[in-house]
Amino acid sequence: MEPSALPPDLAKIEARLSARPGPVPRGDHRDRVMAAVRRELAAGRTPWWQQKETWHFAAVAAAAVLFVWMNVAMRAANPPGWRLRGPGNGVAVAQTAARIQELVPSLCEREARRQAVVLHAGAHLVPAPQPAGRAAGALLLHELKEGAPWVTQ
Amino acid sequence: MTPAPDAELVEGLAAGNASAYAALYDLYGAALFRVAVAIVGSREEAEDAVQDVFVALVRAGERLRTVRNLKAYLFASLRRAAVRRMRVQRPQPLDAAAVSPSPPAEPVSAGAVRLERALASLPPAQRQVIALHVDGGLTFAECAEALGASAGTAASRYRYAIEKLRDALKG
Repeated sequence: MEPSALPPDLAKIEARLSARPGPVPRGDHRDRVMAAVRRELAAGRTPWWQQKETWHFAAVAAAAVLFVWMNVAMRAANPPGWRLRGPGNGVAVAQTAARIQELVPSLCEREARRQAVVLHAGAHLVPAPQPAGRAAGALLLHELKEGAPWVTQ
Repeated sequence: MTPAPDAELVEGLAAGNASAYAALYDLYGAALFRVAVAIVGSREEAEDAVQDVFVALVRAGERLRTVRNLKAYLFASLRRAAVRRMRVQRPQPLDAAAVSPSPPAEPVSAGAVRLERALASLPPAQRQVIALHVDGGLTFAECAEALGASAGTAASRYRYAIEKLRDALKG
């Protein structure tokens, strides 16, 4: 320990610390440590194809490749085809808007186009159960019986 | 210690020579254990922390050739291993039984118990610098390397710790 320039009262504490009996490891500690060292040295000399870590890494890598391949394959097999834009869709919407204006001449061009877009959007929707379930169905029936003004035949 | 024996030892350790590890244990094993007990507060955990250091050395292998100060490197490695073990298991307060030689050769004096209690009440950073400097015999420069701080910080931390011990023993 290097000499410290502590004042006498602190130097006394330092001396007490240095003088206290230090703990010693158990008798078999050296053997335990050396056994662990020999195990590690032996593991380091094991060929890579016999090491557990190698196969663990290979398994993780194979799983990652499989996961990516499955995603790419599914994407290729099921193209989403949202058809959200493109000339064909735009033409179809324009034709529908023109037809709506023919049927309801009082609608302005902007509203007719809006209705056409809504119609086209709804045409590709897949029917799905109501998320609210039975309660929403019961409410609809009740309103039908009451003749709610918004219900159309 | 002169640098030459350490350089030879580092060469043996990097080459995976088991006798170099045995020599290292004989040289630093007891000091490493004392410092580990001072940090973790338990003999069993301290023994495991020392073993962790040796296993980490084997795993470091060829990288050990870049080590400039083996002693500082060892104690830095020990501090990391001890702190890791403390995170897993909360440290037990130090008591006279934990730090006295095993088996207890003579009854522990009241003064020694008070000193150990005062030590245990120090913040971990101050306890570590006392352990490294007093129990490990490291210089402040080596303490600084082991703690990842500057030598000035290590020295001032040590002084604050000693002052706290003095105040605790007075009260």
